[in-house]
Amino acid sequence: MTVFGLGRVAIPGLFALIAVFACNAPPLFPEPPADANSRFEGLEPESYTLFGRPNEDGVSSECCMPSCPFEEDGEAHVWTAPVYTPQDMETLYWDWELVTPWPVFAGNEFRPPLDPPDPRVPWVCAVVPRPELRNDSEAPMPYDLVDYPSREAAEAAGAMVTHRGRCGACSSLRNLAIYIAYPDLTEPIRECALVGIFDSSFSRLACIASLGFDLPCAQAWDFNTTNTQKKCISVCGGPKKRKKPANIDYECGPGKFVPTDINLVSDCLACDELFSLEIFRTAAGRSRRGSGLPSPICRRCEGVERIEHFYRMPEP
Amino acid sequence: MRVRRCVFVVSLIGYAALAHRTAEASPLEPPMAEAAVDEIPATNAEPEEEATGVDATADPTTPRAVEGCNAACESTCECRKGINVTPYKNLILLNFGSTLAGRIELEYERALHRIVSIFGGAYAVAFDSLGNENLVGFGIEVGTRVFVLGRAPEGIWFAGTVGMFWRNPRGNRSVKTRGLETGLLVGWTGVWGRFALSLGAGATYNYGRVSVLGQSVGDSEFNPLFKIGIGVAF
Repeated sequence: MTVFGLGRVAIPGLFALIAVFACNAPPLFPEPPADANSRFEGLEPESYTLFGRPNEDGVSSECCMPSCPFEEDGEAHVWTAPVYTPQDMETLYWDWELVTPWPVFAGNEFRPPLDPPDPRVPWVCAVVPRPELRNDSEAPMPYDLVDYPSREAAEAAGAMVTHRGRCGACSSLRNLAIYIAYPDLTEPIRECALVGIFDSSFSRLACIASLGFDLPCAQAWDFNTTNTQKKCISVCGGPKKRKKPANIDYECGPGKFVPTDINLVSDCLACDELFSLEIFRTAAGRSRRGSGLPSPICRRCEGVERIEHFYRMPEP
Repeated sequence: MRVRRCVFVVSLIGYAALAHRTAEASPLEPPMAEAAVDEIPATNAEPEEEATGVDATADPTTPRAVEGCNAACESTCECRKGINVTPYKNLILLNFGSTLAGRIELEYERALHRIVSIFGGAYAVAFDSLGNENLVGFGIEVGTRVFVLGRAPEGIWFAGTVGMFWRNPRGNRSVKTRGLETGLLVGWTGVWGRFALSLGAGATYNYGRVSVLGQSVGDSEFNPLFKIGIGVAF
């Protein structure tokens, strides 16, 4: 083959390669596992049971399930997180539109607010539909995100609570759909962190946003990733440590082990939570526990907000 | 940290190139070289001149075979100042330098002058090698190489580049990343017959803007860049 012949093959080949990359789109919302909740049927959550939907690592189904016991009006109840279908996620993603998008963090950085919210106030973030702003019945329903000092205050005002804590960059329903679609964001975010190391920070941010987050929420995750990389490299660095299950072994039972947020997870995740969680929560607003979303990482029921994400459209 | 490491590598290669050049220009060298030339038997010189078909006495700048040149490569190289150099002015290179990040670049280079060449290239980044099948990247760049040792397109060089890049998720059209990239590299290119090998290292300064659903944010950063290219000369 002559040199010019090589050029004639290589250049169109490169563009063909580009076309293949560009056109191969993964599905945005996957089907939930068939046994997402059914494998926990017949198991009764106890006071020591953790909240989550664990993989096969360290924690048995008896010890960690997507249910939490609670008391209301002196009666014992059990709340089980629903399994959301791809249609539910699509509704959250496409049928609602935040009137005023959360502003981007200038310079791709954020700092803790000067006036942090009083932790004694049980703030919630709630969805307030704005049907008067909807021009077309086919258009997404406009809504605002509003902070209320309590769940009761939000419900009294006709708002629909979407998570515990004040609203933030990840509070929108669009971001909620992505939280649901990816029950465990650890691995996708770690892949994006690798992209950032070998390519650029723009690629890392684009990678995180490509999961479906809007830009401010992607920035919050991006900050979390870079901060954890800086602070926890010695704990999370090696491949063995990275592959270690997120959950530690947990033998549940009365008086066996007193879990805390930190001793429930692997060293790497514990380090992440120690150095990045608070500032991340301040920026992002939404957390899985605060949204009542189970993940493979098991958590104590005390921190879980019982919220089901089926938002009703106002009557026309 | 990465920038510091990169600056160190660039300095090291630059220092090596300068040290080599200084050694060539050393006052001790010319008499030794001349002595070596004087020692060439006349019987040897004549056949080489015949082989190259060049009358060295007619024009001192005309390439001619002297000691240090390999007569066996006369069809694929020229002898200039006692060094074999490629007679080709064009290179097509496939660069794998940043293959860890899935970056593969097709580059064309043309020598314009004894010490200057220009080049342009396009690259694709498939992040699959990092386990990320969702993101792809493209980029184009143009640049120039200045050869401090050797003769373009062969030798030790410094290069400056400017380019544009895009990083987009597959199928997710709501996320767009684009930016400008400018870089400085130092490296070396060798040509054997038609086979070319090029190695380079340096740093790029990137300004990028990520846009998602009508919101965008810009940022800038330094990044290391490595190039390992193989290709053909013509």
